[in-house]
Amino acid sequence: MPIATINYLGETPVIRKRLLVLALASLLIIAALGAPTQAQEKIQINFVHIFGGQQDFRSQVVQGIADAFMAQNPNIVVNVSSTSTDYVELFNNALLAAEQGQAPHIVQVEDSLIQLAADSDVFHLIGDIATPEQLATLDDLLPTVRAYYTLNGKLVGMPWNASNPILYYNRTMFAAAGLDPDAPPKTFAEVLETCEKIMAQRETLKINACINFPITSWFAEQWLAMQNALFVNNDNGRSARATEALFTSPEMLRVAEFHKALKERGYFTYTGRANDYNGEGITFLSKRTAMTISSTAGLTLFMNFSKAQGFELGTAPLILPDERADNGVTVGGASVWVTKGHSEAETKAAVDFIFFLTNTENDMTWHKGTGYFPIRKSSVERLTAEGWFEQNQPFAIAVNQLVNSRGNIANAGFVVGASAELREALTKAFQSIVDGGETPEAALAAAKQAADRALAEYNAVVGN
Amino acid sequence: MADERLQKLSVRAITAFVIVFSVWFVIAERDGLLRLLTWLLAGLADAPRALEALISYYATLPSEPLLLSAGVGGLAGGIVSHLIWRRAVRTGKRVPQRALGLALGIGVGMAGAQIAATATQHCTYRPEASAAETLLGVVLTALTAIAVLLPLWTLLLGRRRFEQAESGYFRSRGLGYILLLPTLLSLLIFLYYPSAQMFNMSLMARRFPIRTERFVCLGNYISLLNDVVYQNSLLTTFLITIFVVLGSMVTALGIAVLASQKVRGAALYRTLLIFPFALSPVVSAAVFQAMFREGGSGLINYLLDLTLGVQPGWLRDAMLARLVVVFAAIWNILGFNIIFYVAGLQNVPRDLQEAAAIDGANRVQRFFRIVLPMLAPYTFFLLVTNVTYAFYGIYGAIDMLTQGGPPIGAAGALGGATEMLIYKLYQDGFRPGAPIGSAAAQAVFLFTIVAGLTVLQFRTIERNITYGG
Repeated sequence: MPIATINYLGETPVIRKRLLVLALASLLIIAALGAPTQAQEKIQINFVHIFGGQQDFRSQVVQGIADAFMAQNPNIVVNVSSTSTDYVELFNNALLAAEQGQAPHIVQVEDSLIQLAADSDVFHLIGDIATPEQLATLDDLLPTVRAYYTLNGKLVGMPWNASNPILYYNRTMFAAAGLDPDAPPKTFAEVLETCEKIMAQRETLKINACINFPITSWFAEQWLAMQNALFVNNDNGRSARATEALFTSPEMLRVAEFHKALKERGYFTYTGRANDYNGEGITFLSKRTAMTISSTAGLTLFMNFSKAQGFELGTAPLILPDERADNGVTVGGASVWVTKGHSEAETKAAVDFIFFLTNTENDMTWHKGTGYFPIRKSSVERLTAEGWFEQNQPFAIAVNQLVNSRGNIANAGFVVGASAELREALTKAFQSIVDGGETPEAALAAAKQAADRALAEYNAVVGN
Repeated sequence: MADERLQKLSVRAITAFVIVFSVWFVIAERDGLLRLLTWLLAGLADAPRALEALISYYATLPSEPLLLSAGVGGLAGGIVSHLIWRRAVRTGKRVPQRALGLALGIGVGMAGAQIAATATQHCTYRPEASAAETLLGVVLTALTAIAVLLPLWTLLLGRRRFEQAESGYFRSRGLGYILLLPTLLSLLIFLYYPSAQMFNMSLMARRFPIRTERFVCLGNYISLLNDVVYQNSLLTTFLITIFVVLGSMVTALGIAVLASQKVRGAALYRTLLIFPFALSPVVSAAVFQAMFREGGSGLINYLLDLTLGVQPGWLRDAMLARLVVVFAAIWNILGFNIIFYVAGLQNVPRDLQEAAAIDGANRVQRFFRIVLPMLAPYTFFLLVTNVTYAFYGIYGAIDMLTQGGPPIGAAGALGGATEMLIYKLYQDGFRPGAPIGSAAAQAVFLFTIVAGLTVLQFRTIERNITYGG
C-alpha cells in the first residue's frame, strides 16, 4: 500500500477529542508550573568569572570564598558561574544580557576593558556605590593596583586578580653553558650578552634559539612604564580621552630595536602566532630555548612542568630596558564590577560580596590558592610575617616587582576604549619587524597611524 | 488487514510522540517562550507607532530625493519588465498588454525602490551625499526594485514548476500552515529580522557596547571599498578559495576512485578517509597547529630539522602561511567530498562502462568520457558547498593557525597574508570596542559576494548538467 494514502492527524473524531483533552491538560500543567511557587525571601546575586567550571582549581577557590560569605549572610545566595573562559566573550555576554535586562550582578572585567566598561553605562562605579567604611579600606590597596583602576579620582572597578610578566629561565641550561644560574640577565643589553654565550653552544645545548616570548603589546606596555613613558597622550588617557598613540617615542623605539636585535642575531624565536602564551610555554618547557617571558599567572604550571621535564626552573624580574628604567611595572589582570538595574538590596549585597572577596583574609587565600598577586598591603605584610614568600621564592620575585613599583601615571597603565585595536596595531608592528624585515621606525610609524585612526573613530562615536 | 492496523498504530504513535514532545518543550522552555511572546506582542503593539513615524517621515521628506529614488526604481523596473515581456513573448506564453506590463513594472519598481530608500533615509539622493555614495545608492535602489519584481518574473515565465508532491497531503489546508508556522516563525525571528537589523546597523557608526550611534549613510561601505586592507582581504579570499575548492575536489575525487576499488577492507578505508570531516574546523586546525608550530615545538619542523637541517617559517612567511591554511581547510572538508564522490561512483552504471570497454575505450577514456560526466551533479553540488565553505567555514583554521597573519607591509598596513573576509569580519565585529557598523557592512558585502557567486554557478554550470540517467 503506498504511503500516499495515509492521512496524518485528524483521521477520526475520537482522536480529535483526545487531542483537545491533551491540549487542555498540557495547558493546565503549564499554568501550574508557571505559577510562582513561593515568594523568594533570599536575595540572589549572580557572579560571572572566567575561571571555568568546578574542575578548575581557581574556580574552586572562588566557590569556597562564596560559601564562606553565604555562611555569614544567610539571607544572601551567591550564584557563581563561568559563562566563558575568555575575558572578551564574558564581557560581551554580560553586556548582551544587560540589553535584555538580565545582567549578572557582578562581572569580572579585564584590565584593558575598563574604559569600555565605564563608557557602556551598564555598570555602577564602585566608588559611587560603596559605603564610606568600605571606601576607607581602599587605602590598603597597593598603589599601582589602585592607580590602574582609578579614573578621574574614582575607583571604577574593584581590582581582584592581578598578574605580571616575569622572566623564566632554564637553570640547568645556564649551568651547562657555563653561566651563573643565580645571575640571570637584568636588562635588554644583558639578555643580548647572555644569548651570545648561550648560542655559542647551540649544538651541545640542542636549542633552537636563546629566548622566546609571545609577540604582544603587553610586554611593550610594561617596558614603557618601566622607562616612565606613556603609551597614549593625555596622561595615558586618564586626564582626557587619548587622541594620539605615542608609539614613535624613543622609549618605544628602544623596545622595537630590542626585538630587531634579537631577531637579527638569531637569538629569538616564536610560534608564528602572536599572543600565543601557551605555545611559547611549550617551546620553553620542551627545552628548545633557554629563556622566556610570560605571565605570573602561569607560574604554577611552569613549576610543575619543568619538574616533569627534568630541569631546574629559574624565575627573575621582568628584564629592564636599561638599568635606569626603575619606574616599575603596571598591573595586569582583572577587576570586578557591579551592573546597574538591580534592586537596592541586591546591589548592596553585590557590593558587600565584592568587598568580602577582596578583604585581607580572602586576598591571602586567593593568592595561595591561585598564584595571582595579593592586592592589599596588609595581605603582603601578613604573608611575609607567615614566611610564605621565603618558602615560595618565585612568588616573592613577582610580588616584589609589583610592590616596588612607583604609583604614577606611567605605570597606572593606559585607558582607551579602542584598546584592542591599539594592542593589535603594536603587535603587528613587532611581527613585521621580526618576520617582514621592516625597520623599527617604519613599523612603529605605521602602527601609530592605525592606532590614531582607531582612537579618532572611537572618540567620534562616543563623544567626550 | 494487518497492514492497515499497523498504519493506524504508527500514526497514533507519531501523534502521541509529537504531542508529548510539544508539551515537554513548552514546559521546559516556558520562560524563553514567554519572553518571545512578550517580545512579539511588543513588536505588534509598536506597529502603529512605526507606521506613524513612516508617514511623518514621508510628509517631511523633500521632494527631490523622493523623485530621484522613485525615478531610479521606475527605470530599473521598466527595463526588467520589458526584458521579461520580450522573453515571455519569445517562449510563446500568454502575456498581458505590453503597455500594461511596462506600467505595472515601473510602478512596482518605483514603490520597491522605496524599501531601500527608506532604510537609508534617502541619504544617497540628498545633495550632501558624495559621488561614490550616490552611485552605490543607485545600484542598491535598482537591486531592490528588481528584487521586488522577481516574483513577477517567476509568475510570467513559469520556470520549473514543480509537480504536486506525490507522497502525502493534508486534507485541510490550515493544518499544513500550522505545521509550517514554527519554521516560518523561526526564519522570521532568527534570520530575516536580524538580517534587516544588520543592514540597519551597517548604516551606523557605533562601537559595541557603547549605545550611542550616529547615522553615516553608506559611509561604512564607501570606506571599506577605499580601504586597501579590505581590498587585499578580498583578493586573498578569492586566491585561497580557488586553491581550497580545486584542491579539495580533485583530491577527493582521486581518493574516492581509489576507495571504490574492490579491495579487502575497503569499508574500513572509507571510514578512515571520511573521519576528518567529523572533527570541527577548530579541532582539525589545532592538529595542524601542533604540526606546523614554529619555535622548535612543532612536529614538522622538528622532523625537517632532524633530517634535512631546515626549519621553514610555515606561519611566518606569507606564501607558506597561505599554503598551510589551504592544507588545513582541504583536510577538513575532504571527508565530506569523499562521501559524495563515493556515493556518486556507486551510481555510475556498470553497463555503460562495459559497453565502452567493448568498444575499445581504455580506462582513462572511460573515466573522462563516462564517469566524470555522470558525476557532474555531484561535482556541481560540491562546488557550491565548497565555495561556501571556503568563504565562511575556513574561519576556524585561520583563527587557530595564523590569526590572519603574517602582516603585510609595515605593521600590517596592507593587511594580513591569510586575512580572509570572514576572519576580518569576525575580528572587526567581536572584539571589545568593535566598530560594528563597519562589521555589518562587511557582512552585507560578504553575503552579496557569496550569493552572487552561487547564482552565477547555477546560471552558468547547472544548465549544462543532466540529472539522473
